[in-house]
Amino acid sequence: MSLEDIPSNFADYLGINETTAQLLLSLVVIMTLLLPTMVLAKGKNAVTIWLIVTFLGECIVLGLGWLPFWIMIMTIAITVLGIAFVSSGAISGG
Amino acid sequence: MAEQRTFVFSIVFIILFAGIVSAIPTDLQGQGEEPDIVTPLNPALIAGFETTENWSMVALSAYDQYMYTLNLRDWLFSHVYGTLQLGAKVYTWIFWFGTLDSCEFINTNGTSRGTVLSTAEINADATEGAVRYELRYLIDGADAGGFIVYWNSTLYTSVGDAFTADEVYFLHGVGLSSTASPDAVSLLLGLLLMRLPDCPPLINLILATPIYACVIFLIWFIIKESLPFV
Repeated sequence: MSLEDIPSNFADYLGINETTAQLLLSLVVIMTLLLPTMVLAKGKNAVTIWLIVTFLGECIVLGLGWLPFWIMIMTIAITVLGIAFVSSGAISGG
Repeated sequence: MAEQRTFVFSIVFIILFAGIVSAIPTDLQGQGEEPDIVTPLNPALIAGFETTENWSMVALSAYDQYMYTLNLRDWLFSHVYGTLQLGAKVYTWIFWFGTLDSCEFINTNGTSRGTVLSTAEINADATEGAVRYELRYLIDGADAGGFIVYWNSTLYTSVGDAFTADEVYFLHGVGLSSTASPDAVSLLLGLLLMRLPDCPPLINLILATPIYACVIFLIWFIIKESLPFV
C-alpha cells in the first residue's frame, strides 16, 4: 500500500467517502505540525511562523494527492488578504 | 484617505496573490495516477501520465463528438466517417466560436499521421489492439500529451470491426513534462475564467471575486485620478 492509497483504505475502513477521508487525514497531518508550533512559537511574529508551517503541511498533503489543489489557492488568498490589510494600513498610515 | 488605502490594498493583493500562486510547484498537483482501462494494456503504453481522460465510442454524442476538460483546456474529440480528430477549444475570453487548436498524431516511429487519423493508419500502427500516439499542437508543435486507442483484439481483429461494434476505447493523458511550464499562467487564467481544475464553481467564484474587485477598483481609481474634473 502506497501513501497515496491511505485515504481510500481509510475511507473503506470508516465507511465514509474518499474526499472526506482525504480531508480528515490532511487535517491530521497539518494539525500535527501546526499545534506544537502554536505552543512553541508565541509572540509578535508567531503568526508568520504558523503560516509557514501551515503552508509546509499543505504542500506535503498536496504532494501526496490527499488534498484538492484549490484549498492551497484558498489558503493563499486568505493569507494575502490579511497581508494586504496590514500593509495597506501601514503604508497609508491608517 | 480610504480610497488611497484601498488602492494600496488592491495592488498588494494582486501582486502577492499572482506571485505566490505562480510560485507553487506544479508537481504538487499530484504524483500521477493509474488510468482506469477497460481491457488489459501494456503498462508502458499508459505510463508517465499525470492526469488522464478515458472514454469510449458509446460516450460520443449524436454528432459523434466527445467533449472533456483536461490540463485546464476543453477538448473536442470527433469521429468523422471512420477518422479521428482531436483539438483543444480556443476561447475568445469565455466564448467559443468553433475554433480548435488541432493536434497532430505522432506514432511510435516518430511519423506524423496528421490531424486526421484514419482506421487504416491505426491498424498499421497498432500492436495487439492498442496504439499510443504522441500529440502535438499543429500551430506551435508543443506537446499536448499522449493519445491511446485500444480495443479487444481477441474479439475484433481490426479497429474497423471494433468501430462498427462501438467497442473502441480512447485515453488522452497528459504527463508532468507537458504541464510544467505553462501551468503558472494557465492556473491564474483558469482561476479568473472560472475553469480551475477539480474546483467547484462556487469556490472558484469566491476565489476570483476579490481579484476582479481589486482590478475593477484599480481601473476606476486610475481613471478618477487621471481626470481632475471627475
